[in-house]
Amino acid sequence: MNRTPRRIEIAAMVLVLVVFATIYVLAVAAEPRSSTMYRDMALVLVFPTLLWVLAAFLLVRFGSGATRRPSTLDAPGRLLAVAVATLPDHRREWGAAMAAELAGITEPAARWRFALSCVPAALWLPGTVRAPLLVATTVVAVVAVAAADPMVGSVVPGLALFATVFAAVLGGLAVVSVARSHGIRGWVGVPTIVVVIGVVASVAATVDFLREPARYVPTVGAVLFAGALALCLWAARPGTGDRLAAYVGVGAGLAFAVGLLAQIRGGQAAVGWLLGMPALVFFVPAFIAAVIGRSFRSGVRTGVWTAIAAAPMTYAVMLYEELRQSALDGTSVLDGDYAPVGASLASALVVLALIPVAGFPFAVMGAAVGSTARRPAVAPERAAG
Amino acid sequence: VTRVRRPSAQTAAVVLALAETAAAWRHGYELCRQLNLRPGSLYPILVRLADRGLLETAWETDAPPGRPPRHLYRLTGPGRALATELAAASARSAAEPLRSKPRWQGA
Repeated sequence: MNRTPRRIEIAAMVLVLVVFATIYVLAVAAEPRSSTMYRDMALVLVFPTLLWVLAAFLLVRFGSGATRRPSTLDAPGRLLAVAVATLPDHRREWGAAMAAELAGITEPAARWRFALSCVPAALWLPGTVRAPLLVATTVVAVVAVAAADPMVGSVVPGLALFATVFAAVLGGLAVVSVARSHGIRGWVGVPTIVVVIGVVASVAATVDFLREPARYVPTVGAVLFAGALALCLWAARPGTGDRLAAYVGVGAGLAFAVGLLAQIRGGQAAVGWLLGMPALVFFVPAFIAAVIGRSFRSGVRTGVWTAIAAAPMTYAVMLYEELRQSALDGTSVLDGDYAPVGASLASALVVLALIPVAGFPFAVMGAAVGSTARRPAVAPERAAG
Repeated sequence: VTRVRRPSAQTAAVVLALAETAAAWRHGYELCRQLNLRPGSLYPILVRLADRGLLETAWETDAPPGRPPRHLYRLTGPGRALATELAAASARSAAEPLRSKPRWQGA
């Protein structure tokens, strides 16, 4: 068997370990703490690290098709296959053309040269949109970034940095999308609208939080919040396809946020729901989508939709409810303990990060189990497709 | 209204190489080697030429066993017209280097 898939699996798992180790080092370096707290922080990070290591392994194993058939591709072939897999549908033929050409090259050094040269070309293959549309999108993005600070800053000063980062990330992603796209088309369905509502609700909750002049959004929090919301909107853009994944994923995300609200209004602490439910809410829909769609990718896409629907909506619920509860008796809905009202935003931001970090690996597991469960029941030629 | 744009030197080289045997189908790696052009430069040029109707594409029908069919390319009618224009302009500019250069349509 070719060793390359195993190497890619190991590289993906090592990459995850490096990312989490970096997070730990940055957290330790940010503020001097006691050795006991360093140990506790490490213990807190162990569980998500292991989850993501497993998810990375499954993504490479199932995403590359290694479970479907023995791979005959060498490293340059796999590298090019990954690059051309990012091409939009209307450019797939050109990706296949590059891959077919590589298959005809036998000399190893020439294969590497060809693949390495094709990778950037595949990633930046020209779109078919007219240049004026691309220029217009770029101009709108630049103007939005330039105007964000003065416009938002004059109304809600605490959100000026958020607005600038949000416009920059979303604008950049929009320009890249238009440059690679087939034009403005696609399907604006209920799932996209739900994600947009979640993003609007989370911004509205933050504006509500900032009504008191003494409250503020810390710099790191503003940047992460803006980046997360921009990514949610970009992932929910029209034309991303796979309606089954979109509806199942958004339904699960919505159920998670509504369930949290019911839990809080029922007098229960939110922490149990937030720590316990992501496994179920991500695993089950991804499993179902993978079985119905007969595809690992369908399950993973469902996990993405669950994350982008649940994260902003849950953030909004958390922040509204924290403020409401704090005004009532000064306690936090997270665990029922007394907490300063300023901590409400920190709780909501933690929830915003927690949902994809703790939940998405379970979606990958659900997708892997679902796609495996279905495989023996289908004809070999369909399973390979 | 079709935009008038002068093709780059690399695009012109690709068009002229395809025009050498206008009726024959050529494949990407062959063009790379002939023009000493990297595939990362060649494929975006081919994509743009095809988008503008100057290049037609097809998949190889008689690929040998064990190798997938190659993607093949040849110039369309407008592509051949562009090649003729490019060749004529090249000859003119070689003869009269100070004369103003024409503007190209399409590519």
